[in-house]
Amino acid sequence: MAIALTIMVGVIIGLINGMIIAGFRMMPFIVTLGMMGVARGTAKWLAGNQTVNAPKSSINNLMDMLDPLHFFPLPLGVWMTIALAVIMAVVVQQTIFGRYLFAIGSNEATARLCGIRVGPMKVAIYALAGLFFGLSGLMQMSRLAVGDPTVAIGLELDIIAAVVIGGASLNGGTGSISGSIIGALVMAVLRSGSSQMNWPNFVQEIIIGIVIILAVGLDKFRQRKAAL
Amino acid sequence: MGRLLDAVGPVFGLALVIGLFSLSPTVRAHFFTGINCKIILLQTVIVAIGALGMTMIIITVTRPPWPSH
Repeated sequence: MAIALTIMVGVIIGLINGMIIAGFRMMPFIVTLGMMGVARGTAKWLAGNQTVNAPKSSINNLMDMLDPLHFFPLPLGVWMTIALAVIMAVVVQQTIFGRYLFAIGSNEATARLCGIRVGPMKVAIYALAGLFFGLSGLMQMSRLAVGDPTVAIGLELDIIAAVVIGGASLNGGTGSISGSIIGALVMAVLRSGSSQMNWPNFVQEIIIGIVIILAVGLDKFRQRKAAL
Repeated sequence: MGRLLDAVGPVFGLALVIGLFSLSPTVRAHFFTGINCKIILLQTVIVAIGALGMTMIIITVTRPPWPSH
């Protein structure tokens, strides 16, 4: 019940985002940034500005290390991520839905003239993305074993960096699921390596900030090269 | 050629980051152990699932949220 509700909240917020972006043709960056503030504020309000202790349940097993001394067995959350990545890679690369994604990203006006219903597609995309963000929140809750409305501040930048490192362009029209997963691995290796080097938290933040700027700069360089 | 570079680029980036951290003998000693790899995979889960949704959104973004030159 809690699992379904958490994911549904993600889908509903995604639906609202999609409807505002598609309906009013507003900038996705501003709408989603505003919605992040609304969602975090609401979470703090509902939680009474403190962590929520949930009774131990099957949710805690998702990110459980299981055997902490050996590589196998891997946590259930890792297997779920691999399965979802394979499914999404097929959806993005091999289905009509995936083709529509690239068509809208390459040129929205042309996509509309080709008969793609861009508005409903955007709503569907944001709702589906919301499903993943809800699931991601569930994994966060599983890892912490408590619900914390102030956790994961700045995680959105890690996610954007992972996607850009994975080869997606902030101008749209390019990107891959496999690249984004490798980008997420890069971010995790950066954080893990920084911790093992005993670098303080602020050094990690500086490094990750630089990596994000470098990744976007590289994207810009690729775009310019492609335009020549 | 460009497509090949796009595909290999992220892997190269990952290898570069791992390589840089491996330069430190203290980190290298347990960076490649199974348990550390398991922890890294576990830490990847939250960002990776979010990145699945974000990939779709970024592919469809047609106008950057800041002026482009």
